Amino acid sequence: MNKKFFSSPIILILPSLLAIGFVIIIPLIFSFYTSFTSYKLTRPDSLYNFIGLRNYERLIDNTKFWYAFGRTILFLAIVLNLELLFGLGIALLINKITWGQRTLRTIMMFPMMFSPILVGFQWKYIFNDNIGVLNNFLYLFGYESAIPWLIDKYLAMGSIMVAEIWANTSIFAILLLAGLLGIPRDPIEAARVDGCNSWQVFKNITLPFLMPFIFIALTIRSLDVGRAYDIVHIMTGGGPAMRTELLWTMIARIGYKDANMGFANAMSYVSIILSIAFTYYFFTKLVAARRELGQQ
Amino acid sequence: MANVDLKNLTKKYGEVIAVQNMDLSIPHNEFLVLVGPSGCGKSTTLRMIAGLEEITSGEIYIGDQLVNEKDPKDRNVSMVFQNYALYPHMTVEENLGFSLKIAKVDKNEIETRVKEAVQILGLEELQKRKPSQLSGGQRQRVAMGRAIVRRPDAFLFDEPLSNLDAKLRTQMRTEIKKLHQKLKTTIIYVTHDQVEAMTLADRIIIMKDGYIEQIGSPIEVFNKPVNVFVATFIGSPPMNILTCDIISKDQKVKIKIDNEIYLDCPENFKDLFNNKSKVYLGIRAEDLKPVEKNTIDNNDWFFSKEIDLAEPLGTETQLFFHLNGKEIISRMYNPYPVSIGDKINFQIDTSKIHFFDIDTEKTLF
Repeated sequence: MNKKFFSSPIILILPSLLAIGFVIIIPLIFSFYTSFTSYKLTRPDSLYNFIGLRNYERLIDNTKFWYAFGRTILFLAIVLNLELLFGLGIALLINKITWGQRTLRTIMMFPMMFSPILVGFQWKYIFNDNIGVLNNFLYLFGYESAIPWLIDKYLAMGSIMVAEIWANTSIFAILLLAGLLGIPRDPIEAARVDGCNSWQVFKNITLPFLMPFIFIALTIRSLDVGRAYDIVHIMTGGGPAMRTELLWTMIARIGYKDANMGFANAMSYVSIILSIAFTYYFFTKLVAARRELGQQ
Repeated sequence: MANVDLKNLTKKYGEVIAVQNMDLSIPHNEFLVLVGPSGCGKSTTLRMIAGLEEITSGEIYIGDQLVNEKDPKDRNVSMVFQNYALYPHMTVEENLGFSLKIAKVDKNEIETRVKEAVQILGLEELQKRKPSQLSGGQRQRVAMGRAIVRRPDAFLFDEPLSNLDAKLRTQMRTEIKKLHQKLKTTIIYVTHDQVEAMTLADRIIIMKDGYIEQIGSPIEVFNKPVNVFVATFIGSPPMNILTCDIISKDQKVKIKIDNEIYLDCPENFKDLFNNKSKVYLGIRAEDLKPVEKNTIDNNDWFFSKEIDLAEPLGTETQLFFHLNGKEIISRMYNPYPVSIGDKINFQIDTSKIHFFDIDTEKTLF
């Protein structure tokens, strides 16, 4: 070891380097390595059973995986769009209120205060076909056949989306409200004098000012929704007949239940591409929206 | 192109009165300036005319139409804001053409009108730029251009120059004046800067606490202020105001302006002072002339006083001294060197002095 290696800058950053190494880099390399082995949790010696690209080859042929992949994209697309729409609506309405705005802002954030697991349980109860609140409510209005919300192959996915949207729309609302509160008053007034009606003001002035906030919210939420596991696990467990299986419920099942960690890790690395793609896309849009406003 | 009429206009925020019973008729093509200290209601008045502020009571007419209930977009007025209020995501060109695009004006027509505004304001080089790439003065110009292209019935300016530096402000002031001569439209202009008000206005309205104090041409309000507020607000440096005793001495009515200085009451004021023991005396700094020798005729006042401070400004020197404990400013044109403590002779043309009632602060004529 020469003297230079232990110079003070190196020593000073060493603790953080070690921490990052142990917490992130080593697990990353390790998991990446296992994706090239036939590692099973129940047979530790299989960790050294190097099989090259076999896991990835299997994965490419695995239609169930690609269905889950596609289903996750669909889930992301629908949930993000609806949350954006509802969140924007709520933010615009709350922004209009002059009296009691703070109280409403707090009430609006209630869904965010519950653990996703509890939200899952709550909605599972609401959507239960026998004792669920929703079916009982419909029964009151004379709809007598119980709807199998969580069992029907189409309704189950929709039910999970409803729960996810209920729990997280407020994130959009709060971020967009922050954006709305930050818009200067002058350009909006100028637009009104310039002949715009409310819709034209919204479309031409408010929305461009809001775009950076929309893309920040989309980035955060795409990462969040992309790793959806808890709500799905609680409400349907991926059923019926894997109709609500998303990427991470599938990976968790293969990795922990089937103990097939090598294969599960290979799937994870392919799945991460999805998250990276979404994040990259929204960030590019964010930068563009800010440049449009002359903020960068 | 139209006249603007305000009838009994009032604006209250809860209990606070912003504008009180304002009556005003602004003929077509007039350059009207609303001036006053902050919080006097001038901006509120302008915003009510624009439709950005609701009216508590009263009526606003633009042309012959009652516009009380109309949205800003339907009033056909243009407004230039203090912070320019440009649309940051649009280029200069798009900013200028925006209102026309909204009004669904034909594309070629938009192009012609934008081109015209660009030429009037010298924005040729900047058309493709965004507001963030412009300097303060350029942004202000774009804001004016945006107002011009619409060919509105009236222009509303809300302190448009207060964010510019002194040099640019003077330059833009001239341009606004030229613009008015070129466009021949009604302009209502709000400012707290009395120099802007004097230089630009056909007619000035001086406001205070929601009330109109005086309406008149710049020369009128300067020469014949109706009260102490207007007298001190208009003119720079502000008019010197002194509290004077009126006394009888040697069978003559005298005005005591300092312990040793007693001056003859001008003939035309004698009757006004009959029952009064005190008045406010107002003298503008330029009417308080330092003279080397006593070369006065009978009607002029004359006294000497030691000066506390002299500020040479090149074309003039401002002399500061005290009368009756109050600081007084005199402007010396054709300045000669003076130093602190020098006893200077001052001459006042009594036709140029002002007296105000001590209780009402109104002018005594």
